[in-house]
Formats: sequence, structure tokens, C-alpha cells
Amino acid sequence: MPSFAAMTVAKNTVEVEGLKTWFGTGPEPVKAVDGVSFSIPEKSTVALVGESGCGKSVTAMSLTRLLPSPPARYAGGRVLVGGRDTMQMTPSQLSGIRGREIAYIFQEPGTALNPVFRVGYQIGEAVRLSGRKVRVRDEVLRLMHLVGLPEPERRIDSYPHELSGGMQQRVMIAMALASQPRLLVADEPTTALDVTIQAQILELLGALQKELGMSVLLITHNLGLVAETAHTVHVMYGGRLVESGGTEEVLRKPAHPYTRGLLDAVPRLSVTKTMRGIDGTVPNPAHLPVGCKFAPRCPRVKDKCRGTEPEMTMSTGDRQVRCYFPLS
Amino acid sequence: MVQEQPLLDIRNLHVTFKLGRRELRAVDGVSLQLFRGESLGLVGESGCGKTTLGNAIVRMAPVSGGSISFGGRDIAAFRGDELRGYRRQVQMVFQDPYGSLNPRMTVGAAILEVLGIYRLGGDRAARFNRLGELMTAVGLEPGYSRRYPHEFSGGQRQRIGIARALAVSPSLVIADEPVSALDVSVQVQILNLLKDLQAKFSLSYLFVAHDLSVVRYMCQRVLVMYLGRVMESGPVDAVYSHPGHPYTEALLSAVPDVELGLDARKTGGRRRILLTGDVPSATRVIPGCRFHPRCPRAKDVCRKIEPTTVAVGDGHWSACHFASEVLARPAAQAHGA
Repeated sequence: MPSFAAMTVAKNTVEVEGLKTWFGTGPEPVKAVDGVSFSIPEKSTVALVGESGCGKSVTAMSLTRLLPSPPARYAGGRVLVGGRDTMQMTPSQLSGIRGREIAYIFQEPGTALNPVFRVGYQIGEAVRLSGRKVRVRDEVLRLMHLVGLPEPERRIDSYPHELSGGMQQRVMIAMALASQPRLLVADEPTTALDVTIQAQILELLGALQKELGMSVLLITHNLGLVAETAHTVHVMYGGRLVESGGTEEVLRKPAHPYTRGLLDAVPRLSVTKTMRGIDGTVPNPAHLPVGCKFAPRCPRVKDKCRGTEPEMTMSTGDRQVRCYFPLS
Repeated sequence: MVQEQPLLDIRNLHVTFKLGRRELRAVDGVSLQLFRGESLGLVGESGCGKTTLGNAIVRMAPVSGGSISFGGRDIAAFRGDELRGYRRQVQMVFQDPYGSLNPRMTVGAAILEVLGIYRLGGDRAARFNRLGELMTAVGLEPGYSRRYPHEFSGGQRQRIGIARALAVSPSLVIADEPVSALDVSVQVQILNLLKDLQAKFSLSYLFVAHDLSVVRYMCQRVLVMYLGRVMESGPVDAVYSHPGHPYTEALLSAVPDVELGLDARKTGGRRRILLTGDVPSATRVIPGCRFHPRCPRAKDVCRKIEPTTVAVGDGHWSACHFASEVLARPAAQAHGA
């Protein structure tokens, strides 16, 4: 695994700067993503972590402007892919990126696959759209083999409903890889799968990343997955990042009270002492509090926190935290 | 050890669903005992039969063989008042906080309805008091009883579901994946609530879950199910740190865990036991041990003869021909105290 220091001088596949994605056309838009900045270095796995409503999926979809607009509004910021800003691209330029340089896999592969077309056809469609000069059927079989689908010659003619959840997800991954993307965005790719199947898919993604040298943006609420697979982690809350850094550092020595709270709230296999949750509930993006978004639930809150929102500040190395009173 | 009569005693239970010409053997010979005051965990992946087992206990699934006894009496024989009495004793908390509450009733009305059905709590005023007590017991403002389900968050709705289950003062609560639909930070609140309520109201829990870490937190004993049968059972500490069944080993190694994940970064990743293939359909009849097609330790005998359950420790049982080998030579690092 490359050291964190080495990665900061590596080239970035994607750079997100001050991304804002709002919803609604009225005077009070829902600010689902409100000033998010991070980069995804080449050949690395970056995790975007948070609970429901924090804006992580919206961030992922915003990279290639996948959200229907209206009601989504890209209200600010830049997303640089290979140096070009997707926020300024024309639809045809975006088509050149979507499913090509940046590919996606989502949580429920069963819903994402078209039920009336065979999987070979659907993977073939991705191959055709990639524009690569290959023989489609051969390439489909190669991809199916690459993602570990058993008996590709037989499965190529299966319909999605004839496959298990794990196999459907492998089909999605095969489709995503058809264009040899530089970035694979995986939005909760294993949440709907049984845990032993989840393990298989994670191994696959890890192996593919090494073999193909692509970057992975992993969107998840599962800190266990992050611990194992991500080089860097960004913790999201109320539409903004509240902590960023190398995975090991952030998870072993969290600086933001929310990260600390999350870690304390995750049941462990090896620990049975009483866990402390976080009081209250995740904020509704339509009704975010003034000041620090976490203030209403923070055990360390002070008056200052309810006034102006803290900025993201750099601490040691590449650690960043958005808090007036970070933990040590 | 005092030989106490179990609160719930299930013997060789079979629950079979007919699908046209085929049969789905959802529960295929399960025995378990749950004692007063304990939390028993039931873990397994999809299709293992754990939810159907829970449903069978509340008489919501067709039992085709075996028996379920509660307080020493066979529940299949219950009728009329006896059945009503049983339903008061055993309640369920469901997984989906959105689907399990009637959207057209205020939450107060939903809970009062339960009190009404069982004619509990005395007159209207007394019932209203009880409603207030229940809401408070689960950490909700009594005034919220006038609200509709959609006005609450997932975690709050789960609290309401728990209040509703407690309205009849049950002795056994079957919690079927009560926190899997909730955010991480809310899960702990509900788990801790369940623990507090258990102490306060002397409840016994059958905790059905796929999340092994949650079961570790909540339960003293655990049963691991696969395709309708119990593969392993025992004290949670023993099963997790010294599993006696290859399936349990694989499950444990598959669970994402922050500590283990971070530790494994130094050694290039967790040594996982990866099972080949997918969980087969419960309509297929697999000869021998039903786990053998995916088992990394399968030998000839496994393909032919179904294993009997053997003891591998104090109150620790495994249905594997090679249980002692699994114990003696574990495939992966142990997870445990």
C-alpha cells in the first residue's frame, strides 16, 4: 500500500473543489452538498463515509452531473477530471466521461439491471458504448471471467432474475469495467448483499484495483469496510466534510467528535462493553442548524459552535477537521 | 447448574412451504431452548430460515413437523383464550420501521388499539396513562402520541414498535433485525434501549440478525443457521472465539470490523475464508451436509452423510463431522475476548 505521503504528490484522477449541489428552485434550496473538497489520487481507494442524508450519494452523482437538473442545481465549485471541469462540460462532453473515465456501481444491482435483457446483452451494450475496438462477445466473456462469474459461456444468456445478488453485482462491475475507467464510483456496493458474498465482492474490487490500476471512490456508512479497503477517508455530515485524512489515523485517532461518536457506535466482534451512541438524529438537509451542523448532538459543544460554522482546517500532515474544539 | 425449565422449547421443528410442485424447507429440523431472562441470538444469511423460525414461534408460519412449547405447553394446541394469552406473552418487533406501523393511525391510537384488543389497562383514563408510561419507557415524549408515523424518524418509529410490543407486558420478545434499517448512530440507542427494557421488565429476547457484531453486543448465546438448520450453537464468546463449524468460521472472517480491518492493514489485508459460490436455494435438497458444496474443509463423508450435532465445549454444539478439527486447527485468526 503506498504511503500517504507518497500519494499526496501523485497525480489525481479527480479533484473536487468546493462542490455545491442544491435542490429546488425556490428561495430556500435544500443544500444537500454545500462546499465539499477532496481529491482522488491515481490507483487509490478513497472512502466517503456518512449516514443517511449526509450528502455522500449526491456528491458521487454530482461528479458527472448525473442528477436530473432541475430539481438539482450545481450551485458552485469544480470537479476536475483529467484537468477538465465537468461542471462546465456540454452534455456530449459529459457522455464521453460517464461510463468511460468514470464508471458507477450502485447498491441494488437487481434494480439497476434491465430485467428483460440477458446479462450478456447488457454487458455487451457497455462494451459497444465504450467505443473500444474489440469483438463484443469475446470481450463480454473476458469481462465476465475477470469479475469471477462462474461458467461465463452459460451465464452470458441468463436474465438478471436468474442470478443471485452477488452475481448481479459482478455483472454490474463487469459493465462498469467495460470502458477501462480511471475511476470506479461504488455507492454502497455491498449493503444489500449477505456478508459472505460481501466479502467476495470486496476481494474482487481490491484485486481489480491492483490489476487495473484504477481508483475507487467507495461510498459507505460501514466503517469496517473503510478500515480494510480505503487509503484515505472523508467523513461527511450535513452536506459538508467534517474530517479527512489517512484511514488508519482518522479511525484510530479521530479529531472530530462526530467521527469519534460513529466509531463508538459501531459494534465490534471483539468488544462487548456498553457502547455510547450519539444523541439525537441525523439532520434533515432541508433544516440544517446555523453554525456547526453537528452542534445539536455534540457532547463537546460550546456557544461558539452555534454561531458561525467552523472552517476546515489543516492539522498535521494531510489531516483536516472542521471543528473549533477538535479532539487532541 | 440448576435444571430450569426453558421458557421456549423447540424440538425438531419443520416449516415447509409448497411452491407448486416444489417444496421450500425453510426450517428443516431445528431445536432450541430459550431460558427466562436470556437473550438468544439467531444469526445467518438470507434463506437460512431465521425469520421463518421467528414467525413460527408467533404462529405466523405453517409448521409441518416438530413442536414448539412455551412454559411447558405445546403452542399448537392453543385455542381461543389460551391463544390470546399466548399472544400476549410473545411479541415481535419488526425490521422495517416504515412498514410495520399503520400510516393512517396516530401512534397513540396504534398502541391503544393493542390495549383495547386485550382489554388491558382498565378504563380510558387508565389506558391513556399506560400509553404515556410506554412512550416514556422507550424515550419518547408522551405528547408525541398524537402524531402520525411519517412524522417520526426511523429510530423513533422503531421505539414506537417496541412500545407497542411492550404494551401487553410480554415475557418473550422476538426482535427480527430491529436495527438493520437504522443509521449507525441510532442503532446503538435502540440496542441500549432494548437492554435497559430487558432489565426493567424482565424480558427474554430472541434476537434474529445477520449482523454478528450486534448479536455479540446483545446476546449471551447464539445459534448459527444455514439453509434451515442449526450449524453451531453455544455461548457467544465461545462460538466467536473458537468456532466449531466451517460456516461459522467463514461468517466471522467475512464480517467487516474496524479493529480487525485496521490491524490487518499491516499484514496486507484480512485473511478471509472465501466461500465459493452463492447460498443455494432452499428448494434444493442437498445430500449429506447441506454446507458441503461451499465448505473449504469438505471431505467425502460430508457429501454422503448428514452430520449429527456434537458437543465441542460447555453448552457449545456443532453439526459438523470435523468439529473437533475445526476447533483444533482454526483456519483464521480468532475473534474474541
